[in-house]
Amino acid sequence: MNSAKSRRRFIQGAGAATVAGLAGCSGQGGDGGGDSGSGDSDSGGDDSSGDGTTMGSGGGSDVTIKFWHAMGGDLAQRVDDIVNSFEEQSDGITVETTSRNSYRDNLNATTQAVGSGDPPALSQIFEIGTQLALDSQAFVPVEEIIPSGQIDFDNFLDPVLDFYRVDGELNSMPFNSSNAIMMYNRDAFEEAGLDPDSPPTTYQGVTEAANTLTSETDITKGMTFPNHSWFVEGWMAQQDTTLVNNDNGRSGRATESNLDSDAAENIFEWWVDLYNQDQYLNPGIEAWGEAQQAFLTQETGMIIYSTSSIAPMKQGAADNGFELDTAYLPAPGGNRTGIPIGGASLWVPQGLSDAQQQAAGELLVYITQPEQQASWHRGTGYFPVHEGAISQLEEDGFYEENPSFRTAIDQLNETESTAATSGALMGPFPEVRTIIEEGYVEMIQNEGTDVASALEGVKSDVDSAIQSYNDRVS
Amino acid sequence: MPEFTKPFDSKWQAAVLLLPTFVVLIAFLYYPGLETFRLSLQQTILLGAQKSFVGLENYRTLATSAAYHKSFAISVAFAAVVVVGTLAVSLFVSYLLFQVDVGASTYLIAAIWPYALPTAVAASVLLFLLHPSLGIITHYLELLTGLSLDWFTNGPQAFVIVAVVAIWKQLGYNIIFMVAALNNIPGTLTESAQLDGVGHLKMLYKVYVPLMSPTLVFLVIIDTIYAFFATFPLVDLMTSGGPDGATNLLIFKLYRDAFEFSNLGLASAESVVLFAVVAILMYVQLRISESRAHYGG
Repeated sequence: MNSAKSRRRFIQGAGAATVAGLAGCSGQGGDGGGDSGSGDSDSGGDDSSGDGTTMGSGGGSDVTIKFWHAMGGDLAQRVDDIVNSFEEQSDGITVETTSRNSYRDNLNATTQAVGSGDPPALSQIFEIGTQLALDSQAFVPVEEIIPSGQIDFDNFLDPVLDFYRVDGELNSMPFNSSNAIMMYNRDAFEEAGLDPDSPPTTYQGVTEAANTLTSETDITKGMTFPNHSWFVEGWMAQQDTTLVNNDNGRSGRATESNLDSDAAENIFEWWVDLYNQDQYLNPGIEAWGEAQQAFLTQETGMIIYSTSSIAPMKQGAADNGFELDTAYLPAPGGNRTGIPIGGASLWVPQGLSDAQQQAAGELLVYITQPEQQASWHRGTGYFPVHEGAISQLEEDGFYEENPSFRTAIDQLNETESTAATSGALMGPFPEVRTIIEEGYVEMIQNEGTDVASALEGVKSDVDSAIQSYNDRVS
Repeated sequence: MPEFTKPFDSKWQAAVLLLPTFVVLIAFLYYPGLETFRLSLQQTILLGAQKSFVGLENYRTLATSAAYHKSFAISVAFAAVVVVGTLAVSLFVSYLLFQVDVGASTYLIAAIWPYALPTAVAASVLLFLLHPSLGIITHYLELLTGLSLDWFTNGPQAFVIVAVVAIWKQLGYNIIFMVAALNNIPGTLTESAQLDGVGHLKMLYKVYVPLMSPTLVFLVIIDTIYAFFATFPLVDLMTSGGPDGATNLLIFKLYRDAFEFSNLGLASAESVVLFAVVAILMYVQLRISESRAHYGG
């Protein structure tokens, strides 16, 4: 009797626990559903109002457009600020912004929206989705919809334009562009007897500085950076070697990678050696947060990161009681042809009404004006696309007060314009990145792995991903 | 008693009452299932922005893909470890719970608590507790064992970590059923076995387990489904299939192929194969256990 009674209590408890668990699950699902639901209802509203105005007026007056992006938190707020000031000065254009959490989610959502005939007017797509977006045939090149004479592309930064211009045509408007950059702990450098004003600039220099740091200070490992293919791509470009053939996929569809090149071998030999010397803290694949944490808690004295995070990193360093400085991305053997940009650009999908397309064009023109670009650059660390923005900030003395931003701009300006530094174009870029990153893990997993033969394996996996993609589009 | 054999006035009444269930099943199970099969015969880029019919090409790709074979082997090994591990640990814990006299309900609630936690939340929390360089559990484990734990880099370690977390997460569910089954065993049986001088362990394996076998068969099937399908959040949040594919379970691989590598056709084929594999496994399990399980008839 007693046991039966208590069993009933157990089962009740279990039931309650299960219900709580289910509630937790459905709560999550509800969140997600609510998210997309609100997006959907937004779009429903847009659709009718957009169509209504197009029919009712000959154009020029009230129109609502959607702008989908992948920025979160502070960055999303800045996007909203720009959009709000655009609305104020525009003639009856309403812009509804939606943050989609991640680039991949936004790309998938946009493609589906184009398929169902209700696309956003502007969508932010990451640089490695460029070929994929082109092949989807779901977008209109921005050069076609920018009102003529409104933008002088000669004033744009070349490294930024180079990436997004395919076959001489600008398909999407560069929006948030960044470079890889090294940051280091000045205080730790001083304590270790290294000159904080001349940080290492080469692979060799980094390895030596790392060893000095760990032997002279409390720092446990010299260097960290996310296991990210973006850095590998940068180091390939610095040695003026394209990542894939056919001029990085720009003179024709890429069919093969150059991951068996000497350039690739230099990169991985150094990176694996750094790990074997216990000087590389491996935060995990694309683990930006973990790498940042390791650097800010002074587990490491150096970090390779993105220029788009200079401002928050500086703040984080100050909060943790040390001074941060920036340096060029260390170069293999001192080769510095330059590095391709990363980030994202704004695409205009097909299937918009004329009024919406026109409004999207106006918003693009507004966003790329020097004033907006200067405040975007100053607030985020992302590069301005417009040279005018840089000269304006120079006049204001911004770079003298913020020399770490200067490093980023100098590094960008010194980039030579070659096929290698323009960045690669290929459909399966997201998959290729994963293969390269997992390839590195394989190399460090077993000590004594031969880098060259491991790279052969990576190359053959990458090549078959490219091959399979090309088969699918042809 | 006719009113018991014929609970409804007419067949129509029964059909109407079943209708909502069927609508839900058709809308969310059968229709998407058919659509998945249709997609698996197509090649796509970008969630179907461009499609073309290719017949069984996607299945042929899977049959020859080394990465897929590896993922397949890992999933089967993972399911085996998780099912056996979950059953063994829950049986042990349930037996202790069944035997304990003081504070039994407190112990039971503690044991099933992990089940109340959404898997995604559990994965996030454990990621930080077990993090190779930041995790507190890892820190003390390293101190105690002298091993260097770096499951962000070491494949086998990552496999073990994810498997242990998956087992831990599923314990509660198994324990609820096992304790219920143990409590259903007549006390007279226990008493007579005790009089015969049967020890604790022998009692569990020779007396209780055979009597619980219907419950155990049910749990084997539920745990198998769990290991193949419901462990996605753990992999997604803790390892992303890495390092070097060591935890790239089929369910995660197909998600990634579809939504990250934008190869929806291939991912649909993987989905169909996974469904078939688990369905066959289910059938085999039921067949084998039919001869072993005692349903008290």
